[in-house]
Amino acid sequence: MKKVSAIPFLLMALILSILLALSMGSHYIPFTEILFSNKWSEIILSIRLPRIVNAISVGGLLSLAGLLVQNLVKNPLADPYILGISGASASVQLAVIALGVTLPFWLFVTIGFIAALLSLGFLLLLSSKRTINTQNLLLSGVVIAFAYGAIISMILTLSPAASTKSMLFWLMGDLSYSTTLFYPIIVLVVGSIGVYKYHRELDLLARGEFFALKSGVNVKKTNLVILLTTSVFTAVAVSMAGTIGFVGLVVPHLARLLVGNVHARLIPLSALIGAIVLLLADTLARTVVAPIQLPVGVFTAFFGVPVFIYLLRKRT
Amino acid sequence: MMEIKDLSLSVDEQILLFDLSLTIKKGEFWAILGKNGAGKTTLLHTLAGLHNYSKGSIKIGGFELNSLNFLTRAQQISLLPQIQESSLNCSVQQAVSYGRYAWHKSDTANLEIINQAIQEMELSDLTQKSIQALSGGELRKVEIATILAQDSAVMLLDEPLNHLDLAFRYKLMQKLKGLSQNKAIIMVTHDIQYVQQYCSHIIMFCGESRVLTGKINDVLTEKNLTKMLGIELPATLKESLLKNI
Repeated sequence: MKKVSAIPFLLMALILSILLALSMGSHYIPFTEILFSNKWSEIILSIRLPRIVNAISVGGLLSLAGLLVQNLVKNPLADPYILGISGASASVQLAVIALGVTLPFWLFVTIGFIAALLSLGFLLLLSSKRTINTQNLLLSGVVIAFAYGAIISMILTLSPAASTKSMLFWLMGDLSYSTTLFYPIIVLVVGSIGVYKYHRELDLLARGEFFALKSGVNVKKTNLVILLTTSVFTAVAVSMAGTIGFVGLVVPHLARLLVGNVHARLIPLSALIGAIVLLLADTLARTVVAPIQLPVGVFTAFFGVPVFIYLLRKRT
Repeated sequence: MMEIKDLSLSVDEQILLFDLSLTIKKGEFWAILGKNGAGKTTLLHTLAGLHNYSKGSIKIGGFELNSLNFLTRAQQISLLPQIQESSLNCSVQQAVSYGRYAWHKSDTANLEIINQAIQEMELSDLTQKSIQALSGGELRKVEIATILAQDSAVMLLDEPLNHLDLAFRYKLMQKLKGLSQNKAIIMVTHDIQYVQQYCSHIIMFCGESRVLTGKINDVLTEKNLTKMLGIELPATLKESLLKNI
C-alpha cells in the first residue's frame, strides 16, 4: 500500500548479502580481495558461488510456492512444508537415494514433482467435497505431512549407516549439494514470469473463490496453474536442498505487510526476500561453528519462529 | 435483455422453483420477495450463472447463460452477494478495482470509473484505508461500489440495504432507480416499502415452489402478501404497506 517501491532496496540488500556470503566461511576473505584479486578464485568459483546461487534460487522458489499455496487453500498458515508437499517430494527422492539409484537431475526433479502434485491434488480433492473447510484442510495437510515423516524415518532406519547422516542433513535442509547450478535459477525466473501473468487473478482469488468467479476469473484454470507451479517449485527446491521449513510460510507474510494484496508486487518481492533470507541463513549456517556446517533449516527455524509469532500476534 | 424460459430450480432434491418464464428488459427494476429459505438467493445466483439449473434456459443478449465465457459473463452480469467474508488486507480503492477485472481498459480509464464509484458510495475519505478496518456498513458500501465499477448490463443485488443506515438506504434506492434507466436491476429484499416506492416489477415466492411474477401493482396485493407470508397481515401493517396500492 506504500507508494515507495521496496524492490531497489531489496536488490541492494541482495547484492550485499552475496558479498557477505562470498567473504564469510571457514576461511574469511576480505571484500577487497573478492573483487580485485584472483587469489581465492578457486574457493569462490567452485565452492561459494554455486552455493550462493543455490540458496538464492531455493529461497525464491520456496517463498513463491508459499505465496501461491496460501492463496490456493485460503489460509495464511499454509506453506509447502506444513502441507506435506515438500514431504511428498522428499519421501520419493529419498527412497531413490536410499536404493542407490543415480538418476539424471531432471528425472529426479520429475518424480519429486509428481509426488508433490499428487499429494497437493489429493488434499484439494478432500476439500472440494465441501465436507472440509480451510481449517480442516490445513489440519489434513499437517496429518499427511506426518505420514511422510513416518515414511522418511523408515527409509532412514533401513538405509546403510554410512549414508544416513547425509540423508538426515538433507532432510533438515542443506544447500551444499550444489551440483546443477542453472536449472533452479531458470525454473525460478521462468516460473515467476509465468505466474506473474496471473497476478490480477491472484488478487481476486485472495478475496475468495466465489468473489473471483462472479467477477469473471476463470477460477479452475487459475487454480490449476497455481497447483502445477507450486508443485514444480517445491520439487525443484527439495531436489536442490532437501526440506527447508518456514521460508515459504514467513516470507509471503513479510511481503504482504509491505505491499498489501497486490500480486504484481508480491511476486517479485516474495522471491527477492526469500532469496535474501535463505542466503543469510545459509551464510550463518556455514560460519557460526565453522568448520562444522549446520543444516540451514536450523537457522530458518530460528528466524522463522519468532517472526511468525510476532506476525500472528500483530494480526489479532 | 434477459429471457428466462421454463426454469426449474432445486437444491438437495427440494424443488424451489418450477417452470418460471419471464423476460427482463432494460429499464426495469425487479424485486424478489419471499420468506427465508424460499430460494431467493438461489434464483439470484442462478441468474448470475453461478448455480446449475436442472431444467429450462436463461438467455442474455440472445446467448445461453452457461455458454458465455467468464469475462463476457462478468461484463453482462454482476452480483452483490448477501454476505461476504473479508479477512483480506487491501485498500478500499484496490477492493473496488477488482470490479474492473472483466474490462480491458487503460489504467486511467479504469481509475476514473473506480473513483467515481467510490465517490458515489461516499467512501472518498476512506480510499486508502484497509477494508479490514471498516465497519459493517462501510464494508457493504465498498461491495456495492465494486458492483458499480463492474458496470454490467444486468445487476443482481442480494439484500443490498443490509447494514446501511436509513439515510443511505434512501440514497441507494434513488441511485439504483437512476441506474435502472440504462440497465436491468434485480434485487432481493424484505423491505416492502422500498419495493413499492422504487421497483417496477416483482418476483414473489409464495411457498410450495409457486412463484408470482409481473408488474408491481398487479402482484403486490394484500391477498398475495398474505399468501407469501403465511399470516394474516396485522391491521397497522396493512394500512402502512398497502396504502399506495
